[in-house]
Parts: sequence; structure tokens; C-alpha cells
Amino acid sequence: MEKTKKKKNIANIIFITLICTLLVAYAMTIVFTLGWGLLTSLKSRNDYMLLNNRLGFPSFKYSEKEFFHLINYQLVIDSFEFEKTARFYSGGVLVKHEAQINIWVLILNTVVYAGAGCFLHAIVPCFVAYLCVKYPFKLSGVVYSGCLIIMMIPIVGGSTSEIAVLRSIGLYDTWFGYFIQKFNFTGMYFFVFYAFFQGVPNSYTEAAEVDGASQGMIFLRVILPLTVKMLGTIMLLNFVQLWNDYQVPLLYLPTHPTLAYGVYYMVGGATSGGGTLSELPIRVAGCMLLALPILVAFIFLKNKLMGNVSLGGLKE
Amino acid sequence: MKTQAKRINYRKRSRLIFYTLGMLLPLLQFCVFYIYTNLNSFILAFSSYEARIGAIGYDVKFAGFSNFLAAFKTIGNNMQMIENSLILFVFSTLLGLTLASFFSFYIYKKYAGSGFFRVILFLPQIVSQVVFALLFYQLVQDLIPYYLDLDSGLLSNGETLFPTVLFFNLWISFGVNVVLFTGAMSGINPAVVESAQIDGVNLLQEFWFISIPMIFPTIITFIVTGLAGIFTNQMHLYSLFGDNAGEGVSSFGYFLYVQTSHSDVISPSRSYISYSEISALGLVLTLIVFPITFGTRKLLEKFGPRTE
Repeated sequence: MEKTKKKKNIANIIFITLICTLLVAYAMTIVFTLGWGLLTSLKSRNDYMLLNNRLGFPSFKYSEKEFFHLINYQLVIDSFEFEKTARFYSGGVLVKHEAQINIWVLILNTVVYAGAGCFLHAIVPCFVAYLCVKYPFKLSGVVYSGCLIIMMIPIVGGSTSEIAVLRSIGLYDTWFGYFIQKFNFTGMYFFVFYAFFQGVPNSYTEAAEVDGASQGMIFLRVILPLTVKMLGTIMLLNFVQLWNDYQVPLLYLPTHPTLAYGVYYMVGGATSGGGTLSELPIRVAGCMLLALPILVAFIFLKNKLMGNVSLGGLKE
Repeated sequence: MKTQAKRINYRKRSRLIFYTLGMLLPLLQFCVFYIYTNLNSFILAFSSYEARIGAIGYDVKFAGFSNFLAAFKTIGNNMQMIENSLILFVFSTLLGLTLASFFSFYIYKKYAGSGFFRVILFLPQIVSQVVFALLFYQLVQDLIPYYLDLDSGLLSNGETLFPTVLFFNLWISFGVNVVLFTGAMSGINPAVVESAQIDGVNLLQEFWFISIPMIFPTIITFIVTGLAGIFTNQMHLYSLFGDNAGEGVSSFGYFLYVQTSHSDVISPSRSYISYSEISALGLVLTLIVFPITFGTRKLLEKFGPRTE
């Protein structure tokens, strides 16, 4: 009996030590990469390239301005001035969109893109799910089944057609077009809200109706406060995703670049080919500029971002 | 009595008006951006656009199956892309999900540093792909060759290129899956675990016989979404290489993205295929992937482990 227990303990220790070793190794690679990025962004070109100080702490002699005055970051901010052009067919006519970009435009675009996008992509599924659950008309069942079917069909290459439609109706590369695109209720969050509203007793809305509240008032004053926590989490998740996203703006909003798109454009992808900033410490500073605000926000909101998600619902 | 009936009618009417007005815009958006957009994929796939010589605009003609023939040709010429996508899928399913489930088990059991590891595993989801791609690129192209005295970077060497891309995909893939697996594991009844421990079950057995069946529906979801996205997965190539990922490392997801971002209804240059050909290619790939995804889901649901 004692022998079996001992054997079991050894097996447990080996198993957990193995996982722990893997986790430590993984954590080291992530911390090392981000830490290396931060240190590199504080080095001068001479320090990094000529003195081959690739791994060490920035040398105060050669990287004084970069370390104490964040000169690389300043250079990146100043370099965020470029022109973006997009040419495309809109209803048979070749159209040209042009925009002059600087750091303030990028920030404003990011706020609009991530702010409006995260709001719409949370509130619309919430409202439609509420209507489907609490107003049991035939259409509600059709909408629910439709959402289920959509989730099951993997459509490849659909963005081409979507762009063609947006271009033909003159909404391509416009904020209005983007807002309309985001006014979409299908997807995972619809089901998250649907499950949530199924758990909300009808007596809440009925009591408000008896008190003479209108349908709109019931949603705004009774239902919305109940969903605030869930809505907030979904908005936060959407916000982080949209903040980091550069591919969708590149495809749908070519002359409305966001900060992520701007950084991608400036560093020319990871490859050094197309970017404007040729020196590595400055390019890394550009990346850090994008990462740092969201990392700081993550420190404060990590429990909200990681704690409330589970597949098919949110944990309260 | 009459007043009560009136009140009920008024309530019904106001509910109907609110419902109709509320559904109107979302459904209109759905009709245009899902139904019509997908219908337009078919229209595009059977059309060809030709610029008018010496005049503004283009002419649209019925193209028959020529775009589909071109799509089959593209698939035939790029079998390497399908192979790459399949390798990534198998690699990320076998190794990625296995590692994620081990990591989740460690975090669920709240062993030393589990809170810290949870944050670290989630970091690649928080920090932009652009950032990780650039830093990773410099590490494997500059730092590693410099310190290991290699002739070229890992992404410049044909032999190490694809394994390095696979590693990058695995490296930044944890986060959501670990959070979801941990969430599912925390739903396990503690009494079940306690009674198993009394019966002499060790941690590996607990992991295999209790935790894995509990997270299996989530694993199915990841496998099914991975399969469904097999032709849309870009393998983070755009972040790593921009437009210049070589043929040997490309995937159809990347190919379609690059083509869509540069092309139009009339292709601007010979390097890009037109929207009509992209649409036809998309439809063919959808027809291939849909039955595979659906069948796999059914099979996994039928033969996978069950919690009871």
C-alpha cells in the first residue's frame, strides 16, 4: 500500500515537473522577446550594429539620447507622415482615394475603428438576441436557425465579393461603410447573449410593462443594466482585437490607417524590404509604441479579459 | 372587460412595432452583407470584366466556367499551399492542443506560478501580431545566426524556413485555448476528482480520464474551426513577410489575402488574378472544405470521449 502511494507520488512529481519545465521555457521565450524588444528600442544604431551590442543593456555612452530622451520613439512619431492612395473601380468608374497621414490621424482612426467597432459588434448581437428570446415571433426562430447555419458554413474568399459590393455602392474605404459592416449580429456573441437572455425571467419585463414602461424603455432601463458586465467584457475583447488588427483596415479602409496598420506600414512587415524605417532599434520602437498602451491596459484589466470567457457563454 | 382587451391589444401592437423596428436594420444589413454578398460571389465567379478601350468603365460578360477552370488550374499549380495548410493544421492540432491542454491542467490545478503562466500564455493575444512578428523575425534572422555563427537566418534557409514558420504559429497560438480549457476544467465536480484520488488515481490518469473528456467538446470546436479555416489560415505569413512569402511556405489563406488586397474586378497586373477568379477559387475551396468539416464534426461527436 505504502509502495503504491510512493509510486503514485513520484509519477505525479514527474508529470507536474515536466509541464512546469515546459511552461517556464515558454514564459522565458516570451519575456525574453518582449524584454529584448524594449531594450533594443532604447539603443542607438551604433550601439546595436557597430558595437554588436545585440543582447546587452543599452550603453550609456553610445545610447544616451535613445535611453534617456527616447529619441527612437520620437523619430517614429515624426516618421508617421505619409500619403496613402487607393485606386479601385466603383460602379464602373475608376476612383482614387488619397489621404495624408500623421500620428494624430492614426490615433483618431484607431479610436474610431476600435471604439465604434467594439461598441457595435457587442450591442447589435445583444439587442437582436434580446428580441429573439423575449419576442417569440416566428421570425425569431428563423433568425436563430440562420445564425446556427452561418456558423457551420466555412466560406472561403468571401471578402472579395464583400469589397466588390462595398465598392459598387460607394461605401468602400469610408467610415460609414465600416459602421454598416460592423452592424452585424451573427457570430459567437449572438449565442452568448442568447444564452444569457434565456436565463433572465420574463417577470422583469412584465412588471415594467404593468408600470407603463414602453418597449424601448424596458430594454434601456431594465435589460441593458443587467447585461452591462457581459457587454463590457465583450467590448473589451473586441477593443483589444481591433486595436491590434491591421489586416482588415488594410483591406477595407486603405486610406484610413489605424495605429497597427501604420506601424505595419512603417516597418514594412517584419521583413526590412518595404518599410520607411530602416534601422532596427527605431523599427522596434515603432512596435513598442503599439504594444505598450495595450500592455499597460492589460495589467489593469487582465482579470476581465481572461476571467469571463468560456465557450458558449461568459462566466459571471 | 373592454378596457382590458384594449390594453392587451395595445401591448401586443407596441411589442410588434418595437420588434419590427428593432429587427429592420440588422436584418437589412444581414441581407446585403451576408446573403447578397455570397450571392454576388456566384455572380462574380460566372462573370468576366473587360476594360473599355478608349472609354471609361468596363464591360461585364458571362464567363461560363472559365473562372472555375482557372481556379482548378491555380489549385493544381499550388498543391504545395494545400500541403502547407494541412501540415500546419495537423501540427497545431496534435502539438498545439496537446500542449495547451497540459498547460491548462497545470493552471486549473493551481500549481506554483499558475497565475503568472496564465498571463504569459495570454500575452500573444494581447500584443499585436505585428509586434511579435517583427521581434521574432529579428531573433531568427539576426540574433540566432549571429550568436550561433550561422551563414544565414532561419527564415532565409530553405531547410529551416517552414519549420520556423510552424514554430512561430505554435508559439503565439496559446491564450484563448488555454483560457477556454481552464474554464471547462473548472466545471469538473470536485467530488469526482476526490473520489478518483481516493481510488489511487495519479495526476496523469486524472488528466486523461477526467479532464480530457471534460474539455473534449471544446477540443472538437477547435479542431472543427481549424479545419473550417484550413483555406483561410494565413499562417501569420503576411505579418512575417508582407507580400513576399515564398511559394514553398505559402498557404491558400495568405494567397487569397494578398490577391484580394491588390486586385480588383479587373486585375491590375499579371501578378494578380481578378476578383472573378478569386471568387471562383473561393467557391471551389468552400465546396472542398465544407463536407470535410461537417463530417469530422459528426465523427468526433460520435467517437470522442464522453464525460459520463
